[in-house]
Amino acid sequence: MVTLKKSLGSIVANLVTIFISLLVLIPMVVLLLNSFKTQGESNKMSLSLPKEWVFANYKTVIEQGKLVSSFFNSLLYATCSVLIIVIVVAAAAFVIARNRKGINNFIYYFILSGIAIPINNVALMKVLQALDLVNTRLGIILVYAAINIPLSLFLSYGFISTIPREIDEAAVIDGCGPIKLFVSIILPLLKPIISTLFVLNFMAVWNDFTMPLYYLNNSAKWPMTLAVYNFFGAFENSWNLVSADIILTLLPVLIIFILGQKYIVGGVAAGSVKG
Amino acid sequence: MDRKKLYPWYFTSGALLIFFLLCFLPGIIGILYSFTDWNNFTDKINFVGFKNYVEVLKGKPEYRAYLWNTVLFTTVTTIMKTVVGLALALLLTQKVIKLKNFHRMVIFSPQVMSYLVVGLVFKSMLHPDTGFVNNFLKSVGLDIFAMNWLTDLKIVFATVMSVDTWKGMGYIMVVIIAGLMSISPDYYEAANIDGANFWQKFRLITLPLLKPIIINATILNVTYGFRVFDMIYSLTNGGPGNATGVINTAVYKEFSKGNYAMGTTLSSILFFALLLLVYFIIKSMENKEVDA
Amino acid sequence: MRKRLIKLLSTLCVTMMAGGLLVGCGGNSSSTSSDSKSTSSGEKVTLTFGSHQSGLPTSGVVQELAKQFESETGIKIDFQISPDAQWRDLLKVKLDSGEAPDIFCADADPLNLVTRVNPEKYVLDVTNEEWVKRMDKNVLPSISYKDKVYGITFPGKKMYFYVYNKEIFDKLGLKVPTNYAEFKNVCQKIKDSGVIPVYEGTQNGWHQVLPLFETGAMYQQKHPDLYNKLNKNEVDLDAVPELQTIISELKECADLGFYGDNYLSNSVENAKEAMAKGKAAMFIAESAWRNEVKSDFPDFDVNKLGIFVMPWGDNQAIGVNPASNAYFINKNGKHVEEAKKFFDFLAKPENLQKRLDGQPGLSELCWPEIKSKYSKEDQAYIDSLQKGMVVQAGVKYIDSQWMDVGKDLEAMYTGSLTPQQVLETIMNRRKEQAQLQKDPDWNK
Repeated sequence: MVTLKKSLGSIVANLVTIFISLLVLIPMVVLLLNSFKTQGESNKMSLSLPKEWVFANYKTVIEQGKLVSSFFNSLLYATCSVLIIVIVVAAAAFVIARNRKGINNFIYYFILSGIAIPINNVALMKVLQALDLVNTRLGIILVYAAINIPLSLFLSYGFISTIPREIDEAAVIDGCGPIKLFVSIILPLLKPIISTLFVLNFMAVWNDFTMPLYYLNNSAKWPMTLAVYNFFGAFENSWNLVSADIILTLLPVLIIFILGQKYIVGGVAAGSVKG
Repeated sequence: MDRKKLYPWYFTSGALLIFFLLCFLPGIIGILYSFTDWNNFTDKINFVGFKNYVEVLKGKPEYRAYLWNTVLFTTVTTIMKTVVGLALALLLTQKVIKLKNFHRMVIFSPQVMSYLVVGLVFKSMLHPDTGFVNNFLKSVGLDIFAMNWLTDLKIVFATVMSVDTWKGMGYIMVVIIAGLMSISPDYYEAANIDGANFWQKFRLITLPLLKPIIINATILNVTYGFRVFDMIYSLTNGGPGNATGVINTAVYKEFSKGNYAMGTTLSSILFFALLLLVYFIIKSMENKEVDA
Repeated sequence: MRKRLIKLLSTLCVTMMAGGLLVGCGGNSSSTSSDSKSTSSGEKVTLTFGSHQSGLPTSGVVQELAKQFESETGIKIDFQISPDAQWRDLLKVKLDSGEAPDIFCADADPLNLVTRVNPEKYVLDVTNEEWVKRMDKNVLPSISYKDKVYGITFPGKKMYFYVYNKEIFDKLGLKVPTNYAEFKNVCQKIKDSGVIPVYEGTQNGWHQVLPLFETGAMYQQKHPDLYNKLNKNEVDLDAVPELQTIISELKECADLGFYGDNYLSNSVENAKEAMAKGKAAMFIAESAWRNEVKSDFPDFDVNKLGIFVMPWGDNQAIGVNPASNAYFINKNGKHVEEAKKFFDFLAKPENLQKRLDGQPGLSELCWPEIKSKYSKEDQAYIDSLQKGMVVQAGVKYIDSQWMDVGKDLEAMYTGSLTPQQVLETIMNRRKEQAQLQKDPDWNK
């Protein structure tokens, strides 16, 4: 009797789980199917199979949207900005966590205020021009880093606080200077939080479109997110092309995600447990 | 051990420099603009002091509605994402579920989609006639539940908040799963010996040990909720009418009108409010840590 | 593990940077492989062309013309398409900071050119270009400022009709309505037969506003010198009772169920299917929209679709919108000469014809030398109608609030605003804009 209840319970639980997963999967399936339909058919956004599979949509989208070059741009911006964030934030969080007095305290709250600060495009344009960084890839990467540093600092601070000071002291006894201490001893322990930072910031930068719009006036430097606007029309939209573009924009991230899944999901989790 | 030498000042210089130049400085300049009459139509800018702020506070009743919506949205989505994330985490750590990793991955994946995509897809799925959701409900005989998700004033905001939860619940779930897995089973065994049931174990062991995670997640959710824009814009554009307008959609409207000064005023007000809120949450969190 | 990870990450980063740089440079140099009949400096010229989504036809005809231009002259055109929502603001920021593209597209109408693109400061004066005299004179005010022409535009005048399904009308023995009462009657009979009388695409935000302002011709007929008076703030919109009437009529029809059950969720793009499959009987669109229906639904006999004037408020005149989007040359750009060459190229008769052919939704160009696509009967019908300029092209502070009015109407349909309140809101917004722009006529 107990086993029957148990297996019934487990069947129900499994069904519920499958249902929830479906809730998530179905929109993506709709997009996928839509990307193979003709324009007329795709306006409906239904789960029906396309009458004929229009593979040409992908070719159109890749050509008109210059997706190959924009893919590399997206990857460049996301990877570089994340690298910069990780390095500067880990370093800053480390010293602030160890020495939370006086100026360090001020710096911590100062940077943290950036979580809420509104970004003003005109002002940012002026600053970039003054620094001669407007329309450059470096400029965009630094801007992405700058606006994501506050939240990353907050998350890292919590995590680093849990690393015992004894480790530092042991390293000093062994003759480590500050840089060696940080790079060889502390950084490796930060793997979990680095995964978290990687996921959050990579996603944020990958999906952003306003920065390149304002600060990159050469479409060869544009990332994938802007390509989709080639396919929205004046009075109506080519949903089939839009869907194809969205699938192509999602695909790389999804693949990275699936391959690195255990590491990413596990790291995100561990990074927050300690924090 | 000389603290100053071991934790040198220049370790913070990278973050400080980049943040200051490209985030703080433009932000402050932006806030300064709110004290002017900067707009799209003339090149001249005049200082007007607090005029814009007074206008907002005296202001049109819509501003109060936006504020209310923002607070409501933040509160509800924070709670929903945490509760649903918690429930999912509990579900996906039970032994009886098959293919746990697959499910976890699927539920986390909306995080990688941009808000534009989510908005587009859901807008079409929630269409009363041709949308997938209603078609499905009708096909299983649940016709009465097939509603006008995005155009019925009574439920549109709930719909928007649900879509946002759909996107964000995966992250919380994953975080909590790790938390659950790090709770030593000894606690549960001891509780079992004492004859505790599921709810008691949950309340007295699980929840307290998950507190730090939940607080972290709450901060992330609150800062997101206050500043939400893309999700609402792509789903309903603040509509129908202004039913789902929040502060950032109001900022956007002001900019579109060409009234830049008012736009920066609204976003500055948001900034100060959020700053205070975050400060309080962090301060209270730190106190709790000290006590613990 | 850590070392491997760092190594992996750094190699990835370096590769990406290298790849990105290569692609970036490659993008510019790939054009050197083609014809080198270019500038005296021998360098390859690329013109940047900035536009919003709605500025370029989705059929891609402009991009094709650009490719042809490149093969003839070696000058490449780099299209940068921005989301509609950001474009006006983005263009302003770019113009003000000197980062604007060589050519940019913007909505052009006689009233707003100054605030949109500030022609004297930023736009090249093209009054003396050869092709200016070949354009329809009526379109020049939209692209001029202080008697100087600044841009080039192609779409012909826009006119919105009710496209209707003749077959459904014949089956029910209905005649084309010429006033509101007949219109309601027709709608009721169609509704009773199980077909949606009017398809409304409210989701896109702009479609529902058309009946209010496309009827400008009638307003002008009934109130002489109306636009002038409105622009001088001598009267306000409540001096036009027909406007309030139309707003109320829109609500009445919604309540009578003439738009179907779920019109608030409908989009303009799904109208084609609704009409082609006979689910709806009428839809507000331009005449050439029928060609788009044909291209999406080739099995549907598009001759079944006819047009008639929108009878809201008993209107029988057709509103004409001479304005559309236009291309402008950045005065301070580095490649002004090449940009002018591109305009010359676009203005060549064979390219004008290509453009008309390449845009199914376009009925005519504003270049009289190119024949319009109207059929004989349509042309005869249009010629028989009295015409006048639409409100948004003739009255200040209307066009800028178009999408807001769309939202107000949505609110009216859901019951949060009354028709009277909608009109009040429109008037208040006008006042607000005027004061914001420090319009002297409003600061009494």
